[in-house]
Amino acid sequence: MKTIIFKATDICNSNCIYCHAVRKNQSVKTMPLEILERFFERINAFLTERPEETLKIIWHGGEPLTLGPDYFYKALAFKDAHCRETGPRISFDMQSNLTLFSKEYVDVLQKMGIKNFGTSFELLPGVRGSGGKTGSDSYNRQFIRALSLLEEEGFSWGIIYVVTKLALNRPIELFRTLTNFVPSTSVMFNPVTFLKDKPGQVAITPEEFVDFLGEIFTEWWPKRERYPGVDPFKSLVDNLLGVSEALLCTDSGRCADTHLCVSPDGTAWQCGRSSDWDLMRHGSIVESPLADILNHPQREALRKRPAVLKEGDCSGCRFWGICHGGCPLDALAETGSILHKSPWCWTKKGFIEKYLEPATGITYRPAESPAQEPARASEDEKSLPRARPRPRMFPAAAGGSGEPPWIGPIPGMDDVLMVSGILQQIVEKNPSRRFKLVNKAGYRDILSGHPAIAEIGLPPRTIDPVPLDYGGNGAPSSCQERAYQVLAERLGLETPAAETLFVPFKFEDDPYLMKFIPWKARNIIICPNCETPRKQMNTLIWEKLSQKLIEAGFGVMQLAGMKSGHVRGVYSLQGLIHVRQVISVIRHFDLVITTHNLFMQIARLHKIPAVVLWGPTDHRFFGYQGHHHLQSRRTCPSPEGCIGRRAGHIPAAACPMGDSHCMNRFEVETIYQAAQEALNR
Amino acid sequence: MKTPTLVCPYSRPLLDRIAGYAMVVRVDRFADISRAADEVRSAGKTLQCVLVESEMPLNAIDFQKDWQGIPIALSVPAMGAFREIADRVRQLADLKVHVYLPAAKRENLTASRMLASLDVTCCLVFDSAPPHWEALADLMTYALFGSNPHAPVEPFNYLAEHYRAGADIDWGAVYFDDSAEFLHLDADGRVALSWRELCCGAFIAEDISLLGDPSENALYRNSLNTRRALFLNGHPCIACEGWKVCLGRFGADGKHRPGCAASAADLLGELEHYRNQQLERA
Repeated sequence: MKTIIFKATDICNSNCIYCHAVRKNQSVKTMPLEILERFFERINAFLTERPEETLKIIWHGGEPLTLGPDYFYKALAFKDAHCRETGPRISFDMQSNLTLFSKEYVDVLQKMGIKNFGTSFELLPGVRGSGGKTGSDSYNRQFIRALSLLEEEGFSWGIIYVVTKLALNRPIELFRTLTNFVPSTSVMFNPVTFLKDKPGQVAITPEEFVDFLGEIFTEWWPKRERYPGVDPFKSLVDNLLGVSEALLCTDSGRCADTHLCVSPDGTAWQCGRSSDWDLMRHGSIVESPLADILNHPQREALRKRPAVLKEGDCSGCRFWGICHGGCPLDALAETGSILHKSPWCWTKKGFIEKYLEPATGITYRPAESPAQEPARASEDEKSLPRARPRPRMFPAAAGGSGEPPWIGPIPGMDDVLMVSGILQQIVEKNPSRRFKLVNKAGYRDILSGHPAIAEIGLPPRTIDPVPLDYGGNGAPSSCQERAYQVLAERLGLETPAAETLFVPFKFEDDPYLMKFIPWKARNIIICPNCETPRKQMNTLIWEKLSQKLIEAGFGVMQLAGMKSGHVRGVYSLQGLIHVRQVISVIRHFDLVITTHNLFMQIARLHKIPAVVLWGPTDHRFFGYQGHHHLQSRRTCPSPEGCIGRRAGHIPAAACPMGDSHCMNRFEVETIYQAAQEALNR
Repeated sequence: MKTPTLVCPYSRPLLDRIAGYAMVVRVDRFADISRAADEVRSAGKTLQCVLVESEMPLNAIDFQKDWQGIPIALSVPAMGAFREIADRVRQLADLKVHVYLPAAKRENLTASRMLASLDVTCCLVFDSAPPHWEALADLMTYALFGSNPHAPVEPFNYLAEHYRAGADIDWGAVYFDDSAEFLHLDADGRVALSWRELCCGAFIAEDISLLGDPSENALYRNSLNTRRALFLNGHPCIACEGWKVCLGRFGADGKHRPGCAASAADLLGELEHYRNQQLERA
């Protein structure tokens, strides 16, 4: 596709302080209708000769809406008259300040197929508008009036924000304000550029722009799902990850073949900026067909630029494939020659190296195939290599800085402290190592702030997280026969590893809670809750056990999630406190009586005696030394246990044995005796 | 603009004049609830809700059997003593009553949780006084992530249902306060864009019959820009991280900062978390 920046007028109703157009005050300010008609004749001839080609015409200016709706109707009429066959291959877009938008434009813009507007917005006073603060206030009021009308008529819009010196000290504030202002968060940050005479109060350097972007990127990256439309970040990240191969005209190295600008008197230019800067004039559509304009000798020089830069200024640069030396006009403005790299290339290289790679763990590696060289233009562009091999995302090596891998815990909370402990050991050995955790219910509550976890969320659809389970396909064959060791091996920790547990927060007591609990001299916490009904013991057994303990003078409290029933007669803290408070408060108890669940792990974390009741799972695999384990005898068709490694049953389904399932075979007296022994140990 | 729902006082002559609109009828007395609902429905009109504001706490209200099947928005200052309502909560849950409670009182946050846990839909009303932000955050977590069954707690439920990454969510519809969906009428049929404007006498039409297409109305058009206009005068909310889910409703005057800002940012995070959880389950 070719893009024509169509400046049918140089007239603008604004006087922005950063306007860099030097080609002003021309005698022809608005394109006469005869040139407009000629323009569509030229387009038709060009497209007729190239049946595969398409053209996008971007109404630009000046301010295109100063033309009035009638001008657009006439343009459409010319297009319909001269492009009967080729018309479907022509599309329109518009870049406008929108302040003159009114209902009168709706019909003709819709007929042109325009659905989306590129526009600009500036909060800082005195930057846009007719001049001064008053001018910008009135301009902005007109602008927001136009926006509501635009939206009501079904058009969408996005903002290009021009970063000037006035904006440099408030990047985050501007980022939030602009993304709050634009409903789709479609905001693009561009640096202000000038051909010469850079005004000191406005102009910025590439280094300043990189730091401005860097501050915003640090905020954007972890919240990028919240701000889906922010550029240059989204495009750049998509590009580095190979999601998209599209490059801006400034970076493609192919602008000689893709872009063209026409100004009101019919003069053809390399692009919109070259027209503004009065550089690279390539004839006139009044005198020459488009094909001749695209073959102008200056364009030939431009086509040679990538080959020159690759051996010269950009030799060895790993960002060549996504930069190609940057905009030739910037190079021309700075050095007097297009055969140099753009001074703004730092906004790619510096930004990626200083901010993007450290923040994301993505390391950009250039594609090595020569196919990444931008295609030279020819009449038959289809025959040229266009595809650029995708750069790859390199996972971090042991000490590397690559993208942290995603890890996916199994449902339930039983393993969370083990996973946490293993990750802690890994990060202690290698402080730069990070993981991303698939967000499972409850994990975030405990693991947020973990030093080894860079992110808790959902992985992109293209990434399969490393599953933190104990068996099935892909299970390591050399693992130790302990749950902890299996997980440690899965996460890359050398085994056998010390079976330490960890939480990424300090234990704190809520004074109100501590007063609230009816403490006795010795206190026992019972934890009947399990994620699976197969590991649950009948509440009546819990009640009888509790009664016996209470009669023996113990304070007995129940603490678990809301899924387990209330054990009558005991003091219940179920559902009243946050999981972090749960973990903290358990350290004040003398004994934990629990099934195989998170509370067994918490008891281990605090080194508190515990009696653990085991049924479908095996204490030799999951349990800890020092705990008192009661393993029920299984009489069901799954003598090896129905949960866990290679068992193949659905944990969420109740045991078909009903009330006689293994967990209900415990004698109250046995548990009571075990509790006494554990307390006296 | 789609056809708005009209929020109007219970007045027979006024109801007779209105056609072609869904209605929210505001009554002053409990005794009028079923009467108003009957009259609207028997005239073949769509009743969206009966709205009643009470100065009595919930425990002092006698729920009537003939409210059965009538959607009721009941605004009360507080729940009152739970022991006095405990044996009637089942009845309240069976009726289609949504209980509106001022969020500024901390006990109302607790009451909302209790009522929701007993299957009564609740709705927090944010006004000029700030709520206890931490307690509000707890309630938000309960409303979105509480694993035991409970009734919706608004506005969190509405927000969770309407959240889309990057998009603004206006939850004014929860309070019938969104001029894109609701217009407010006084007893004379004069039309305002909100309850507040109705009370101030700021009408966009002197009669419902003169309303025409609201989107053509200059006052309506200006109202669309009210929120955006905040961006032009440096309002403290415009750079707030939680703006898109608050839109100034937690503290439109900017006085509640930084409590409201942190709370709105929390809410945004919770909504994202909730959305991810839904996607994960899907």
